Amino acid sequence: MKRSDEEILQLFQNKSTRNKAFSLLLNEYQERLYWQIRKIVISHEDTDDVLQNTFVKIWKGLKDFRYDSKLYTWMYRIATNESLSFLKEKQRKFFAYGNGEVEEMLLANLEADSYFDGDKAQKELQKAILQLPEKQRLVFNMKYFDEMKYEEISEILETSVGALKASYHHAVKKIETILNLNEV
Amino acid sequence: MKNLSNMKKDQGFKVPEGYFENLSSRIQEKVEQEESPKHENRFLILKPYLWMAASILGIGLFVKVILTNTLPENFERYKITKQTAVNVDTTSTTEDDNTALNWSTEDLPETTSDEIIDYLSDYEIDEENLLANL
Repeated sequence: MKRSDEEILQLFQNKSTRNKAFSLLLNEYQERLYWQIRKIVISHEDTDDVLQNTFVKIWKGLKDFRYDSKLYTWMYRIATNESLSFLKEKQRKFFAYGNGEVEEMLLANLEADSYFDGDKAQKELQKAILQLPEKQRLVFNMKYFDEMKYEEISEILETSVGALKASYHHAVKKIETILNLNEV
Repeated sequence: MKNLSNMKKDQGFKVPEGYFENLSSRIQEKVEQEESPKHENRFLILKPYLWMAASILGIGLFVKVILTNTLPENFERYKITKQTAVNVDTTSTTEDDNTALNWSTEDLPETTSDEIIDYLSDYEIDEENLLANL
């Protein structure tokens, strides 16, 4: 029987049913959060690490969750922030002796990822996405692949809907330009 | 001309076989580790003791540095002062002795060999007596 978020939260508030509630939460959201993180950090191994840390934070924060936003939006925000923090830390280690960009590191991750089996067009698209600035990349992934509503993205990224629409529009134009340049 | 609306949305990423099947249990294990008193509170329990130990160590080091930089210097100064006092006494003694010696050699009136022979003759001091008293 599928439980609603509210029911899961109620179960979580009770110490005796807390583990059961968390198990329900994992079954419901682990895969969606995995793909959200994967789109940001690219590598499967990195995604696995970030996902575990994300759920540890969710466990710790869930006791104080106050419905300021939807449960999923709140978890999505944690996953996004964890992913971005992870990338910053990895960038610091990756470019220990230089000032390389995150995009450069992610391209290297994509090339080395043994769990990427996309065709040429999919790889070109991923490479084009990785050339976008961070915010545009996040908005593009949420809108294009996850087909999220701007209002939801707005809650997660704490950015106005207008700004998100502009970001997405610019992202699409840039990606199409890059893809067409590579085709020539 | 490539257009995103004509492209398939599959990203091309995959996961290891069976990954999602045991993901829940792995995450729950990780959460339990984080939540277990041993893991979570070990540092918190030891924190005040660690602070105390660090403070004592800090104070000890501070005192050591102070003693290293100041006390031995005073001690040396004390030793030097004491030694100087002894040396001054010794020096003064030596100086007195030297003064006496210098006085006896420098301030003696000039005496000729004839006067010495006369003196020895007057007091009947012969060669044997002189050698015997050397």
